[in-house]
Amino acid sequence: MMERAGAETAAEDVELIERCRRGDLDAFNLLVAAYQDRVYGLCLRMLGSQQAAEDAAQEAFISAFRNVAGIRSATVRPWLFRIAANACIDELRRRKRQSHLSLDAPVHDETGDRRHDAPDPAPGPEQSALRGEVRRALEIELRRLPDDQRLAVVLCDVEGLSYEEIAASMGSSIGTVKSRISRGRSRLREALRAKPELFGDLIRPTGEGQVSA
Amino acid sequence: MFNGGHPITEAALSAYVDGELSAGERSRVERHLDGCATCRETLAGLRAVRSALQALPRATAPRSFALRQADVRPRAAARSAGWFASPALAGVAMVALVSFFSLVSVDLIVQSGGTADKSNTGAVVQPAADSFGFAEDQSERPPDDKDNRQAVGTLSGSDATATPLLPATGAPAEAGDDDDAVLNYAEATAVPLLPATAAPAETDGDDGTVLHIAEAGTAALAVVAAGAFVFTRRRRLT
Repeated sequence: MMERAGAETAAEDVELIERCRRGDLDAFNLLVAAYQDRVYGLCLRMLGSQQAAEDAAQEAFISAFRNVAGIRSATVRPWLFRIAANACIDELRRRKRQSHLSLDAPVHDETGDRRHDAPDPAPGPEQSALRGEVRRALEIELRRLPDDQRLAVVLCDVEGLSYEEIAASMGSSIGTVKSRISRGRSRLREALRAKPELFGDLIRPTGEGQVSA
Repeated sequence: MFNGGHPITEAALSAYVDGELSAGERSRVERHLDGCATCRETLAGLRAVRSALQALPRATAPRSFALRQADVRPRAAARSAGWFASPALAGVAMVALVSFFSLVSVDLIVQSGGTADKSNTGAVVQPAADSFGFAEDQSERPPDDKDNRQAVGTLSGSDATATPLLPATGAPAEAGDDDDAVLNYAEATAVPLLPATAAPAETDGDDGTVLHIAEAGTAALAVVAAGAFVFTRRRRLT
């Protein structure tokens, strides 16, 4: 079984939520402080630009506070991620509407997602286990995934949620989650295999079928 | 997703990578992997994707998202103020719609009672009734106000405004009081839209015409208010 970080904070969160439920903004801000990096990170992976991610994250926390009286989850994380995911999906829909409406809209992202190509605010390559160009290429491939697959893959592989938590975050069944993750990874696998010069270290090209140690 | 006829799907391999298979499924996958190089390669690819994604740098929030009272309160107030216009328009549309149904009911009662002159069925009114598809439906039903009650019942909160109109529809239109009540309302709604045609309310033979005009007026009001309601909501959402 894979390790799933963060479960140990659940009890504390529930206690915080009890205070939030009574409208305690200070208590809610403790929750914000505990989760803002991850909520922002999810928004950044989903939306691709720092400004849009900031707006969506802020929107998500405001929305979370307004709905905190209705929280029923045993753990806070899937609940917060679900609200953040909804904020991102709203933003993505807004973009699609705008690009349909506007004749001046930039070329649609067939070949590299130019519209979302804001400077990457993530830490530099020295702080990542991946080389800079590999990391950037992977980010671009990730952004090319359909929204639902990208959300599932990010929640699973980047945020480390279990399938059950992802299902709660996406409001769908575990079977759907499993299929979205699989299809998303399959596309990424193909994309990585198509660029052996970049990803050769990660995935060996077809033909070397054996799994060596 | 995976090649057809293969006993193990790529979804199963993907879930295997995540440790999300049951013990039985897991051992079935492992047995298959022992003898299938293709699946081992797929599995290696999935694992590579997974570990590459896990190696992506963690984002750090560029600022604090802590909320202040000001973040929560004024926006809530602004939203509720912004919503005021829509329910008001929706209410107008509902009241107009309910009175339209009421008037149609009265009209049918008048006609079935034989007091209305059929030849007075105005050309102005008929298209409006047809365009809603209500005229034919109503004529096939008993002239009670059951439909009106159902329509009102679906909208909580509008009972208070709609109730004053219902007594007028329940009673036959012989009594002068009821007629006046209906006609007063009909004038109130129809006059702004059809100032010239709402006047003749004196003779018995004109009752049908006035009712038809009132029906057209309330129907038009309902359409205008509903249209404005939809328009303001769409603007707010975008």
